[in-house]
Amino acid sequence: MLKRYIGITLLTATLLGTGACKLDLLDNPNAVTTNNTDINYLLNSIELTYRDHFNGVGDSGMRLTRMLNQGSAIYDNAVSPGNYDGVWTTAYAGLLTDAKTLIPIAESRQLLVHAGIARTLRASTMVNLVDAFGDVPYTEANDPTNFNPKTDGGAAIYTAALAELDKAIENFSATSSAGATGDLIFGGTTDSWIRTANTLKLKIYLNRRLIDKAGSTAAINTLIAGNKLISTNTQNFVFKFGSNLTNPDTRHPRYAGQYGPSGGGDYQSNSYMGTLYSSKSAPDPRIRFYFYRQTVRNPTDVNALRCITNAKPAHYSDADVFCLPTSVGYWGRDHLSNEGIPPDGLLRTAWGVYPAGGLYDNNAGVPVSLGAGAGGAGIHPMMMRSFVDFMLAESALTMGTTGSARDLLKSGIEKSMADVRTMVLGTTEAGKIATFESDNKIVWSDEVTKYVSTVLARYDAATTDDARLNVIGTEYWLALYGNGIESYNLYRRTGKPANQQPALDPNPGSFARSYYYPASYITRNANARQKATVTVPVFWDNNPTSLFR
Amino acid sequence: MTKHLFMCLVGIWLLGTTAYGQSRRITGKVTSGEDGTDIPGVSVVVKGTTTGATTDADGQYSINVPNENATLVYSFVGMTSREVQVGNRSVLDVVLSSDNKQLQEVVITAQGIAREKKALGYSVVALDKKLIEDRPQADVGRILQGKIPGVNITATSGVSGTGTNITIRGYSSITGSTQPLFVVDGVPFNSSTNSRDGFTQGGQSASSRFLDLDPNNIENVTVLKGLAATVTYGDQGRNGVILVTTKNGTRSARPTEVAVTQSFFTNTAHLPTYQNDYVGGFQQNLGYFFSNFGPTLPEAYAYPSQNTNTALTNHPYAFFSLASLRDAMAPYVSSLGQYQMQVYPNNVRDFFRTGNVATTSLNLSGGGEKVSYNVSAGYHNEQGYIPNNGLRKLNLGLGINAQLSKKVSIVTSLNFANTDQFSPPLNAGQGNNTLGGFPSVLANVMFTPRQVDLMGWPYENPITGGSVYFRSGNDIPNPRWIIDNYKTTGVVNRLFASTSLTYDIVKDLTLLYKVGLDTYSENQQYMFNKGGVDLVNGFYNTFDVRNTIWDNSAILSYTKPVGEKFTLSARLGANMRNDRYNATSVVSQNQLARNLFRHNNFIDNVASNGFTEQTRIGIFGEITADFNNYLFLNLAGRNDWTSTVEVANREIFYPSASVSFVPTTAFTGMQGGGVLNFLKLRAGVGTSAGFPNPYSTRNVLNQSARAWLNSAGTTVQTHSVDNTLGNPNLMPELHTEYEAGIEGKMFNNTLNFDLTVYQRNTSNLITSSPLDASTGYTNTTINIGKIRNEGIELNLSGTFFKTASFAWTPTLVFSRNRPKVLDLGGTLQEVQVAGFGGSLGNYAVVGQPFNVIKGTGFRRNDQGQFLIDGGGYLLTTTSPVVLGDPNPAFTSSLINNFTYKDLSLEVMVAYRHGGAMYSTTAGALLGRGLTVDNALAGGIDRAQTMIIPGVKLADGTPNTTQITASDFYFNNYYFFGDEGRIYDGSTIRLQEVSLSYRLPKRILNKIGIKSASFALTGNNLWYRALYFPKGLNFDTDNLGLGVGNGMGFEFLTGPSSRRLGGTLRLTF
Repeated sequence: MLKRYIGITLLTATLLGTGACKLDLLDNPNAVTTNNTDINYLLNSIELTYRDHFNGVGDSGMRLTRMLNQGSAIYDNAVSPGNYDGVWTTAYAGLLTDAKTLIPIAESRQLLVHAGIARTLRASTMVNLVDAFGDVPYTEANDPTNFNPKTDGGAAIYTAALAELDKAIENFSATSSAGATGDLIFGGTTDSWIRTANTLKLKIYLNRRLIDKAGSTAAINTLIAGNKLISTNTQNFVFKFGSNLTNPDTRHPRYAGQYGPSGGGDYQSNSYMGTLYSSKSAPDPRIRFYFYRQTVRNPTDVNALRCITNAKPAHYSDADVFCLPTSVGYWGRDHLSNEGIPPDGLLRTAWGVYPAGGLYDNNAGVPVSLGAGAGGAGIHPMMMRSFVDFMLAESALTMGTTGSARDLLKSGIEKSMADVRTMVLGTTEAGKIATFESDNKIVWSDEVTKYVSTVLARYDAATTDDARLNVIGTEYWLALYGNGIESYNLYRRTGKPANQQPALDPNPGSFARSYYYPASYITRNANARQKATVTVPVFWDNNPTSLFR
Repeated sequence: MTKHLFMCLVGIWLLGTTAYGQSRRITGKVTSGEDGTDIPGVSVVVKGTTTGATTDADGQYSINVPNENATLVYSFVGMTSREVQVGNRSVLDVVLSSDNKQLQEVVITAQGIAREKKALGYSVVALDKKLIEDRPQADVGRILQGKIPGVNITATSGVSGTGTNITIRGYSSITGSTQPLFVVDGVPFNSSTNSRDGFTQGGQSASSRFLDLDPNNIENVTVLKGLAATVTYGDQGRNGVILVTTKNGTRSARPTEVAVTQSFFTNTAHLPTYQNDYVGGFQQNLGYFFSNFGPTLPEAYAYPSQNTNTALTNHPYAFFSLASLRDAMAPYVSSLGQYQMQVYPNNVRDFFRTGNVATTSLNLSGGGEKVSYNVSAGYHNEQGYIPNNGLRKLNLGLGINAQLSKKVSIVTSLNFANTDQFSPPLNAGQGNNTLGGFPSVLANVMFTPRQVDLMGWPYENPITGGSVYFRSGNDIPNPRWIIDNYKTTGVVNRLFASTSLTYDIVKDLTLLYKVGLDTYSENQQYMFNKGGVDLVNGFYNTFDVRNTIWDNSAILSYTKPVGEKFTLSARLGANMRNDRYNATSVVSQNQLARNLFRHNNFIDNVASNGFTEQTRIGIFGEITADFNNYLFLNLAGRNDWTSTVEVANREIFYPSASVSFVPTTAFTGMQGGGVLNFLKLRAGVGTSAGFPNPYSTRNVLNQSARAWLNSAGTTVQTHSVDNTLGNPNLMPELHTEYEAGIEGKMFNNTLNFDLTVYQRNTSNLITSSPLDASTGYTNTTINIGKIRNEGIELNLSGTFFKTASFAWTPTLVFSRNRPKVLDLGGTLQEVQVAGFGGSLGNYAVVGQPFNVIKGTGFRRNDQGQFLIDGGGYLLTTTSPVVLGDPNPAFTSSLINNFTYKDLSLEVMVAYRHGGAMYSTTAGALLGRGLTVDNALAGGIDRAQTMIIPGVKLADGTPNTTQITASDFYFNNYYFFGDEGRIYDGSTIRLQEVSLSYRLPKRILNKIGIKSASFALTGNNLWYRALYFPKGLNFDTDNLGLGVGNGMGFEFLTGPSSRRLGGTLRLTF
């Protein structure tokens, strides 16, 4: 009797045991694999990752070119290695790995629009990495059997990117088994993608002009003759954000970082705001779209803004703004200011309706709040038709490519004004804009005309090509708000706008001509070597150090 | 399933009680020759047979003997065995005397095998219940703090119910678990800390699951530290094993008695000493900031630049930037009448409360010679030192021992625990709100400016119910609002059952079968109303974990004396363990109605769940040989198969060997003169395996069902290649450890010493290794690297001044462990162990001690002088630099026990030497000017300018730029870079004081009470971190990074607590 019970117990326990006695538990039961993936989902991931890539890689570019505040005291710290791990990861482990997974699947199924989009974005990403860091891993990259990929020269990567863009154009032009209707950027319109690819080639050749003038001239002339560059508003290569707060958060990242109950977020650049406000006879027509003032009065409390009691540094010229760029409440930071953060989150100037989807500045002077303004339904201006004209203007002026620099400058400004206008009027702020403009008798077209004629007069008054280039460069810089990639390229290519606001510290070190390599790359890759200084330029930048400040 | 097993077992017990023998019956009593007390648990065996019995709690036994020629053998540990012929007696009382020569100690070793301590070739520490029960802590981990050499225990914080980190002999892995295995009543017990997310996402409120053990129900704790001791536990034992025997699971005989214990303690926070001269502001300018760098109030009234400052005469709630908030608070502001700024010296102190901790335990035991039982119940109710924080715990247990037949016996224990922990959210803060956008109640409390009436001012917007606090941007969540509106809870229901069946097959051959089930559900909730500063629209997260361990072992033991001088024993065992973990998390945001926490009261819900399972099967063997009772050899090995690596790498074998030599037995002359009573030399080498976490060998894709909304508002899905690269070549890792030791007793056993040295090498470490993203992945699990831990453990104890009524018994515990990273696989230079991605954190760097702290340092020239910028400020380094080694040089404690008649006093003092500590409390309080350390009381006049010693970056000449006190402390040392917040962590601590009184038996017996005692106990009564400024009153016993491999960081997640109270213990 007893033995029987013991037997039963042992048997029960053994059975319980053997039920769990399975060692074949290697497949993760919680995830999908390449065998059951969906190519449309992969494409979505690539496009969304490109959105993040654009925002991340251009951030320092905006700050170095005084489009946003740069919060370190010296250049060496402004581009420190710890800043770029995210940029590196987003590009290589995000976009490039997914593109590498997508392209063979797309090609095997003749889904060539998918392949073309992946190739275009991959080429753009590689070019942006070269422009940010210089030589970076390419041919040995994205290989899981090689943990220590070596770098390729920036020039070689540029060449590979051009070939990739050509291949993409070929993909877009070929017959596909199906389109990419889910494409978040152009809804699968191949003509817009071809124009984007060509415009990226234009940018590549323009960057190369300093080291290969003849090659760039010929190539740019070919692109102009091909007439397949971005030229209409709908062809603008932009990423559009929404206003959904959570699950998913579709708001513009700059908006999301600022429009909350306690404000805060990015400090704007005093220099950029000052230029928009007072460098022409009247404030730039775009200024109320670019910036939102939470208060329309300048602070008088040292607790809110410490520099109001400080004297302007001796190394600042009369033309340089300091501390408060205007008398009407525009309020950001001077270049390379590492000041702590006082309780000014609901006072400092915020991102406006363009491109971040924030508030229109109608002199309301009330603090930002969650969901205020256009709710974050902004854009990333990744490549606009106005940028095309500014680049062509620079090209015409410096290399004599087809077209008149003056005409291109004019159309560049006009297209920028028009596209900014179209974007803001497409938001929920449109009503507020109409009301404010009619109340204040502001006629948009008059403002633009006045502005364009001021600039052209300045251009016509310029006596040297350098001065003309400064006019073009300055206008391009003012049109680039939200795009730090091209403003950084512009500054390194031309040194324009000249006479940028100096750093607060009289000895901030030399201007950063590229970013330091990311810390993760240096510590994890045996073949990686950190650059000696921030003055190491990228391959196409042969300008003298004295050009920059 | 569980139920069936339970029914089976119940059936067996019932049967067991009716099992019956025959032939002649002898009864009797065994008493001690020294003090005449009854000896329970004495083995009584009929010589030459397997018939045996054990004495009960009163020393009584009864046994059947075949005839009058039979001889009974009485044996008991530490006593000289006696053989007595029965003759015609039916009652046989026996007196046993101590075996002074041997003083044998028996300890529990791996797989529950009791062995004589002298036969062990490795270090084992056994801790009696006296050092565990009646303590003010519900967490057994914290009770063991400092009591065992080589075991390092750190609390996450002083907040009730938070986790505890335990490491034994250092860190054997870079990224893998270094937590020891808990074995309770012979089978594995999950001791995970299931935090919902990392240290910047609210992980700090999670508890460690050994919290489910009731310390008052623990009979004893044995710690197996080295691999030579733990090899048969397989890979799970590689970080050491903590063997816990509950009163329900003990094999020894149980007295028939009822014990009732009632404790009551208070729980208070250790707080800084605040200065009350300077008020809030910055640059000596009055204002409502985070910082307290304003003027003194008399100065503010005296100086024209200040006395017109509206902050002086207006309530801060009149200054809100947001008009709607200003309007909402206007009635309150106007109700105050004329406002005058004043200092509230107790604003922080009054935020904390004195929590009460009450523990009730009931233990009931009894039974006869065949069957004995134990029933335990415990209830612990603890209030934390902050409101709405506490812990309620109910433990119920049942244990049964039964001799089922002559050959079969069973020990079974069933334990149920219900643990209910609740707390406002805790999350890391750097001294200005919380990190990662996840709220924390303590992120902003400690540095409350002196003129802020935290406990007096309203904290709720009367219109919206949102948080209101003193900064004009209203960007600090009011801590009192958090207490009212934010809650985290963790409810655990746990069933833990263990059963061992012993079958004496033939003489010398025994089969043991053990089965254990440990299953729990842990239901965590994070309930945040809308209206705060983080997660502004409300947040609700339910995180449900189910964890089940099934563990089966069968062990065949064989013992054979081969001749008189040589005994051989062998064991062969098999073990299978299956772990299943289910987690379901639902995160909801955008609350509809306040104070309602249901997922359908939120607009957005995101759910995710996951399941992991792993199985390990092992076969182990052990051979021990005893030569002449002075030379002992132990050989063991285990072969494992794991489910977590690909088939080709699935199997690993690892052996161990140890030897023990007792010269005092071998050469009896050594004992002459009474100087050396006992000496033992031991040496061992052990190995162990480590297995990776499940699913590390194959690649997967991530997916998101709601990654985006397209322009039409339709959801967009994504698939993307996971950034972790699967590694099909992943292998188990191998740990090797050498240890040697010397133990002895001297001066008539008044001085005992036990010294161990060890070296542990771990190679082919399974590491979650970071990859350069340009490979396409950011990390992979790979066998790289080598860590070496070397250390010394010393335990010295003695009995001094022993007289008839007084004795002083001090014990010194000393540990030193040096962990060093020898190799990281050639190409990798460093691996971040814990911290902020790529910046401040613990790192494994080749050639450096493991876990060095790296962070942003201050720039220096080649001479080590600070480089100063044009504004007179420090400059930070471009990349993180090594700031310190957080590993203490040594830790030690001195436990003094004084007894005088029935009074006993225990005083435990602990000292930690060295070990760098990054402290946000220090950074925030010094950087914001709160404590006496940088105020008038500390001799610092903030009205004076200061110059940072260093040289100018521009030209290398000495810095002469004068800066303000605010700039000096806030903008430079403490809030700029990480270097200013690093301190040497040497700490001296009065860890425990306990005064107890045992009431004399002669009085008690008259009123039917067997024994009664009363104790006053204090825990963490006083400490001093020697190198921290005194006013901070900072406690280094804190783990800001939460339970894991990181150490040496504190992020304002709660000061430590002091607990004080009394316990009454009655036995009937």
